[in-house]
Amino acid sequence: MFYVKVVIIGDGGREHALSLMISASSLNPRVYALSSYINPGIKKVAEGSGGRLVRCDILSPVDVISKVNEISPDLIVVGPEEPQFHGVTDVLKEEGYAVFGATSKLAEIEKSKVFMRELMWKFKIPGRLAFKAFTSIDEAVEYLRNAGDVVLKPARQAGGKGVKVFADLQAYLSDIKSEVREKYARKLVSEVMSNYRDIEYRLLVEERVDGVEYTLMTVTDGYDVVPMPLVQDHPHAFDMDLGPETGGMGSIQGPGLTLPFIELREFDESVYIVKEVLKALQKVVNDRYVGALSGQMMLTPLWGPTVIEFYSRFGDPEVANLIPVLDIDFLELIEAAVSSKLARIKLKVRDDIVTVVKAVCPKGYPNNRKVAKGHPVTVDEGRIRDYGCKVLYAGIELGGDGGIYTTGSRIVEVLCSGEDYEEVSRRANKCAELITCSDGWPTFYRSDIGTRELIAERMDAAERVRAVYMYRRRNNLLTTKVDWIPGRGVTVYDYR
Amino acid sequence: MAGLISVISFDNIWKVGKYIYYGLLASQNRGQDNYIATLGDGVKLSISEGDFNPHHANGPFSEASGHVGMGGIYGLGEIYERKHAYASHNGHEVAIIIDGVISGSTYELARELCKLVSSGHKLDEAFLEIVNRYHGAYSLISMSNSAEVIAYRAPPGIKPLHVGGYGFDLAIISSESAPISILGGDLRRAINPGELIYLTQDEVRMVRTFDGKPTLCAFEYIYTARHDSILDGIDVYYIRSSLGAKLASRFSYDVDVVVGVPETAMPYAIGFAKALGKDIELGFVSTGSRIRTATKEDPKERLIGIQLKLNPIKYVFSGKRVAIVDDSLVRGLTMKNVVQILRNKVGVKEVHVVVGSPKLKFRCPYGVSIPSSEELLAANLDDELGVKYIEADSITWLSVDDVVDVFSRYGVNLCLGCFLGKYPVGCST
Repeated sequence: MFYVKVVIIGDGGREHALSLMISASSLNPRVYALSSYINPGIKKVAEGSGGRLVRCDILSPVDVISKVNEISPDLIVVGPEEPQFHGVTDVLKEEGYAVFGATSKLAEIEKSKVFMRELMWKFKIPGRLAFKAFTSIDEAVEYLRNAGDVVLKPARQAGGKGVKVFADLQAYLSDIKSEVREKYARKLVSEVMSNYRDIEYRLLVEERVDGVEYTLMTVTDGYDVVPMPLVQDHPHAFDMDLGPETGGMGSIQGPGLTLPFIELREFDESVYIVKEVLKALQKVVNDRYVGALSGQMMLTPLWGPTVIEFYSRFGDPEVANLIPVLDIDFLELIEAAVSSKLARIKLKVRDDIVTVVKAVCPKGYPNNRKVAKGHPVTVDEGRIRDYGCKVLYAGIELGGDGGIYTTGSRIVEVLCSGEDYEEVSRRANKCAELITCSDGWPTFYRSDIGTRELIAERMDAAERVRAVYMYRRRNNLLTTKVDWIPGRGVTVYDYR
Repeated sequence: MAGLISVISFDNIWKVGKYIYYGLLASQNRGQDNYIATLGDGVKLSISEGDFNPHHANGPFSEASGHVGMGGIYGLGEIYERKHAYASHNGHEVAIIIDGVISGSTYELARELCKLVSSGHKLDEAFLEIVNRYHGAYSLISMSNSAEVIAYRAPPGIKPLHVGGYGFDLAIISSESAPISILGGDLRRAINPGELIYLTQDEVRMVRTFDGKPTLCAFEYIYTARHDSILDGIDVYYIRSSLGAKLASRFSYDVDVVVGVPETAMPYAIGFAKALGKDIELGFVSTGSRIRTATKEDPKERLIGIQLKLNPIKYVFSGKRVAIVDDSLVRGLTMKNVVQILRNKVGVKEVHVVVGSPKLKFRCPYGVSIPSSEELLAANLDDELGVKYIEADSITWLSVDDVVDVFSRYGVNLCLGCFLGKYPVGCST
């Protein structure tokens, strides 16, 4: 009997979602997963399709290639960014495999935030932000003293961690903020960046912008770009947009290609930006991009659609929102990208439903993961299915005793869809309640994602932002920005 | 009345003392005499209290360490010792501050909470165990030495309480919304009546103990709150200018100019003048910092406050027929004084007094500094006598229905106790 073998590299919620979409293909693929730990969700999909989950050091090209050779797949999907950074895609391609996933050179777009910004400035792509990059903490600290209203980021992608926003508009509070900025810069360099020696820059300081964030995921074969429907993630840990930055507490999508607070024109402008970045990237590194390329965007007063970060992969949890709405054989889409036939693909998106994803986390996530790790988890999959929802396993690991345990990260994502955000959100909450730690360790999720109030708030915010950027466009204010630090000279940013 | 503020940072690198100071500074409309500030570092609580000095940003607590903090600011009229409490038990500490009135003693509440906390309860669980014995018209913030904060708005929500956030770093609790923006934060929403919010670095959770819509203190909108606050989603400024417009429909005299008594009455005067189609002018200039005259207990202090705050601009009044708008008439002392000055020293032609509230007739059992009935002008003097006492040409009041009408589009209930003598919650001070 004819079948295709697909290997998915990765172990999180994103890969569980990808494995579900791929295994649903009419091509009846056998799905194999290479994972650093046993994610029970991925394992189940793989085994159900006739494939299996193989434990593997997914950051080691040597280990990956030896496991892949044993399987001898027709197609390989590299899910997360770190294997890409570590050259896993490169080696697989050299061996002649058909791979969906950025090579290490192309993945620089995500790995090095400085590279991404420089690229956008060099090619004058709209939606860019002023920035300063530092290789030494002392220089950075000196700069930060007078920097005011900025965002601090680790210069390298660090698992979505480490971004801090310092709105500094009240002179009477700026002493404290200056102190906190300095302490935080030192902490970033010593605690986050010390893990990474594969990049020279340590710290990135960006101008701060306010606005409404959204993710534009695309699939590309290096020639054509197929945009997926927009998804909005919720980075704050707690309800009411309170609390520290996380990898994403949940996401909303629909109806159709855009979100209730993003206009179709803004969607098109965002797609244009991603296409321009792709072109520039391929030119600069002289390589062809086959894989997912996502823009973490924000509608800002400065530009309208503006780039916050780039991902050389699908967003997590954002990709889960695509499961119910892509009216396409997902494996065919991936296969078309790998064989440079994306131009033939016509993406159909259901516009009669909306989707809501909510992450359920162990208490302690994201800042205190040690205490969040190792708790036994119970998931009432039956009742979640009765609600018409799906569970995607993320930071959950199959233990030696057959039980499942938290890894310290987001435990699962629940995916719900339906006609109306309010109703879908409520259903997602009910499902989220069905995930518990059986040792009594508390779990949490955001009950407000997808509620009418929160969406109305986003609509208000987007309206405010829209009025400003439209005014700036009308009055040709998009062209220059002058940065002057007394005693240290003037920098004129040319936004043309 | 009291202004409550709390700041919780999700990262220990913050020191929130100065935030508490500016939060209190921004809450002075709710009390400006005594403060109590509590800072926590996750191990112990440090408490500072005394006279609030608005010119001392580097005051005793603002430089202290602590990544979690709370503060209350109170007027002299408050028996403010009863509005905060501290208890410790077996190495556990709990502090509370309240705005409003609570059945039972705050000290007893703190002690009970502390006992439950030291027996292993989280602060919110402890509070939920005993909350049904502590009813009243109050909002509360409590903190434990393990850096837990709870914020609770007792049903039916007569006292306000709001939540805000700043980036990924701070959560802010505040009686009113304006201090949240003064602290650089964004208002997230009002805390619902009967809602308890629990905040720590690892967890934020909410429980509702009451399902109804809020019953708001009408006087918050009429006098207490800042013009730039949004309480329960309703703009204070909008209410005040709309009440001013209502007054215009009840006003039956012809005047040359409209003047507002600074500064709570300004939005009323603007709404009134707009609806009347008359010019509004700036009538008075204040000397010294802002003083909330109505909340002063001592008559002499009140008089000093009035006179310093209300030096008339002669050009505006001289020879004119004037409508003078104030937000409320309590004892009528401010207005009587103003009218005298306008008549005797400035040479006004006619003075028509316009009041932005219904007749204040009853004391407030919930801690708003409204004196008892025997001291309230509207409770003792009828319209004719009132006009004669103040020596005005006329007085125009709003009716209670006018107030209800302005609020009708919001689907909320109102506490109108000081106008009607009927109170939504049984509780005594």
